[in-house]
Amino acid sequence: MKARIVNGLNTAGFAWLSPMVLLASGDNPREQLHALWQRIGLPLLAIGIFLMLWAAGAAQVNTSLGQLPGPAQTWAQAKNLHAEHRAERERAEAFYERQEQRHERQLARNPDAKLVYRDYTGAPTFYDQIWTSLQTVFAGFVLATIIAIPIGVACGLSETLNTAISPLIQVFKPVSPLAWLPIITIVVSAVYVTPDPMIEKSFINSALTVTLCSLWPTLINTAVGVSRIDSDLINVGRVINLPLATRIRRIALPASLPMIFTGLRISLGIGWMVLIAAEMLAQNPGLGKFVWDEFQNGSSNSLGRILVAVITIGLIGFLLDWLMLTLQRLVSYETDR
Amino acid sequence: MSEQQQAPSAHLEISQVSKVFDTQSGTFKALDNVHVKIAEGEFISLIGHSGCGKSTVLNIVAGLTDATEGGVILEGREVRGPGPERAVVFQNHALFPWLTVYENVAIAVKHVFRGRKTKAEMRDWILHNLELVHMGHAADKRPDEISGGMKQRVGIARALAMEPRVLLMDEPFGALDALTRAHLQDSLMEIHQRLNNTVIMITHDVDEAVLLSDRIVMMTNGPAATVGEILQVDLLRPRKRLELADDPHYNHLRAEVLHFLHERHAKPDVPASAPADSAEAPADPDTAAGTEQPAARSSSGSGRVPAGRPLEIGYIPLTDAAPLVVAHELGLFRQEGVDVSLVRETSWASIRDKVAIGMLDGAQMLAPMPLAASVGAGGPKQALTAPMTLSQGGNGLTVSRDLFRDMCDLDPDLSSDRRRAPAALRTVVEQRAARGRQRLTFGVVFPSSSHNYLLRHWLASGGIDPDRDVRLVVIPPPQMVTNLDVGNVAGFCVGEPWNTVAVERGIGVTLATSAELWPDHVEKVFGVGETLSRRRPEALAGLLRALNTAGRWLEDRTHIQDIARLLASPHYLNQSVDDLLPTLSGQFRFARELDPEPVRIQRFTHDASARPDAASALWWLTQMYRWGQLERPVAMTNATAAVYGAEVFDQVLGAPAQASAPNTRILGPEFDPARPLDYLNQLPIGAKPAWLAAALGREAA
Repeated sequence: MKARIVNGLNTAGFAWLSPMVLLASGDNPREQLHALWQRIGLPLLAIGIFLMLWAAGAAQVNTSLGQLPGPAQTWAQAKNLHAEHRAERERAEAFYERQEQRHERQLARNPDAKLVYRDYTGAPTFYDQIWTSLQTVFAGFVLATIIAIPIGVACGLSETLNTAISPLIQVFKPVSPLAWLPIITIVVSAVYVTPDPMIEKSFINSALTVTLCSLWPTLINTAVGVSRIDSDLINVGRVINLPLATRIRRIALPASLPMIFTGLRISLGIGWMVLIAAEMLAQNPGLGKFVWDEFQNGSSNSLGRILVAVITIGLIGFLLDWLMLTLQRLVSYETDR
Repeated sequence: MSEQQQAPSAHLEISQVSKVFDTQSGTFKALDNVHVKIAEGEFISLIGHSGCGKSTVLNIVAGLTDATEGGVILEGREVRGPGPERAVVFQNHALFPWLTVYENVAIAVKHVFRGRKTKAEMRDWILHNLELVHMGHAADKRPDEISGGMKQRVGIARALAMEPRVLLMDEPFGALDALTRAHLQDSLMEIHQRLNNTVIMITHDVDEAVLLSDRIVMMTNGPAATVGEILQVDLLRPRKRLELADDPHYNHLRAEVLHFLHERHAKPDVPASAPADSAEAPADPDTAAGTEQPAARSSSGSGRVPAGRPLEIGYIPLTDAAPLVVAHELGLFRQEGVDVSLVRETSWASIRDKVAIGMLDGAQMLAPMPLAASVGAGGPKQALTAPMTLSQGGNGLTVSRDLFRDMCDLDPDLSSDRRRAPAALRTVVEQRAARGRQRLTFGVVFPSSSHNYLLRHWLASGGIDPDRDVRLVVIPPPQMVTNLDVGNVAGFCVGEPWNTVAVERGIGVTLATSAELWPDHVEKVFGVGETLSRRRPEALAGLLRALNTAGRWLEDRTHIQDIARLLASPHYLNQSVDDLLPTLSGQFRFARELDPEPVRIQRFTHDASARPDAASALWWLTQMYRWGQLERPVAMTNATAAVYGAEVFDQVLGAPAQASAPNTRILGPEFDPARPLDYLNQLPIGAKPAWLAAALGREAA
């Protein structure tokens, strides 16, 4: 039981929690306390020192928008943002309640009345921005994955194709997202013309920028992973006379899964960084736009709110990486990864 | 045995196959005109030196590589590309790590039998094949959860499940330890007998080739490798590993293969006999590329610079291989200016033959082995000498727990006094005979070994005739414990760590150590052939100095942990350190439920104790007479002096101030080296030679 909990924690990336479990079960307290200090105490200490330095340093910097906010002011802004979100939600609920009451009155007067449903159109809150950003990054990332893995597998299997495509990859890989953005914006405006768009143009712009930047690590890692498969495993497939599609599905993909996931992790990380920049520049909704708006807003609270966004961006990036790592541990046959 | 020898009906024909590889430095002809016809159900081994293109031949048959010229014809049709009718067992098993054992076989079955078997039939067929290799119990395990031997079993099951017309095996057991390999060889023989598949197997192991094959195809060295000779192995099936070890025809066949390989080995100072094919390159490219010796190679070269190729020294994975291992690992050989590579061998017969024909320059040897070889006891005469003693004691006599229980039932005092064991065993033997049960079988490591002689002496001391009342068989040391475990033998006499392993696994109980039967008896010697002693005296001197230093280091009690760690490594014994420590530290357990007792059952020798002891070696000769290994009379003192002469030792390490008295404290009647025949005459059981009475009479007169 104990071993299963510890194992589960390790798989989920919560290795730092396992000493607590072991401590609770009375497993060599000294050793576990030491492990606890190593895994939790030290990082907490470092965070504490960082907060103190931040507080002391921020007090020294005066800007046009007032003093640079320290941890306390930033925390206050975080609470503020949360309160604004709550207020906005309450307004929205109140709106829907009124609409409901209106409908009931209409129905009371005339049971066949045609009801009009309207959506609440308040300003997006901080949480809305986060949600938009996450949707965008996943859309772009999924699209990149769908493109990159098949091309990567093909490159890994065929030396010829790999040699042919390699220069293209090498040239496009280092291009900054900011260079892509104008082109994408213009192309999307030209190609995506519908009177009543189901998906916002701005969403497509951001997502495609993410796609173009997060394509490469997955593609390259997949190609390398597939080309490095033990030739005996490939030969087993040849001896059994497996058709090509089955050979890819049953042998090439599972064998290179660890490498593919390494690529996916890098891709998602890059995608997240690129997204913030793209949103800022293109004025697409999301966390990037939030930061830009606050910068333009220039109130005395703005710096604190931007800092909240910065920390949020960091935390989400960390969470995304953790998610991929856990997923990788779950699906990969290499248990030691 | 000609190249053109053909099987009665060609089921599979490798027809004039040549293979040329394009490399950056031009073309390389790997195979030239390889031609073999194979009958249905035949088991063929391909044997040859590394890099001779064996794997290329196999890949061409599998269709994984294309032949440049010629081709492969299976049942009248030319082979094009790979296919399940020519299933391959890969050297490193090649199981898919993300699939379970069952799924690994299923992936093959589902595609090969698509549309021919229903789902339920496929399931039964997969499980049937897993059962065939005794892996049904692990169907749901993943490859990383099972041992190397088990993985290879699954690899074989996957290949068999394709119902192949030909089974192709590329060194299937090469990466496995000796015990596992023996198990798998037995399984393979059993499967081959049941299914009668045509099999082509690549191997490096001469014993494996002779044991398993109907014909052995021996390939010449590359480049342009081809079939050198084909050896018909006409041993009856089913073949029993245990019985074959003593079979003269088996030994003749393995000697044939060894001779072929040796002639092609083309060492710089052992001229290869001219190959039949004049197109063949004169030197083995492996050897030429692998040696980093100075160009000048004079046979009279003096000084301490390594001269010539590295010396190849053989050993058997045993605790008393320590002097060689330590001298190698501590760089003592190199300090003495000799370049040595250690070669792990699988059996004592292999060591004796390879040293005698010069494939090995020297080896760890059983003390009586060079003597038996030089007087021709139990085999052809071979000139071997033993210029140094390596260790004393270290063997144990262990019986299965079942036998021990039977003995204790008859003699309850046995568990407190192990000296009662021979008598107790005799009662068991008599009871079994009275009930008409089979004779007990005991394992020894080699006919001319202290194990064999001391076990026989011990049995005889209890009134048991080792040739009539029980049966003795020869088994290589690493395979003893398994044979005891599965009940092939009821007991054995073997060197450490195998007694400890049997005791600690709860398989056996040790009744006596060889040190109790003959305290400090000479156990292992350093044996050399004429090549080394005559042609390279300076190298021999370096070896002796290095081994002497190693002996001193080994007897330093502070080094026990280091010795155990060195020996335990996968290169050498591949055992856990815990199995080695009891003997090294002198804390030996006789049974798992007992506490360790402080007994030094083994000593390593150096200086005076390492000096060869010709006088006590006379005892071995008396035993060769006693057990009928040697029939005609030999000049006993001359014979022992020729093998265990101390001249070289004294020259290299200095003669002792005064000669030590010979060690003759053997169990039973007193042994006087001055009167060995009198001693022989006094011994109770044994077949005394016909001339003994006459010789004693002459002496008396």
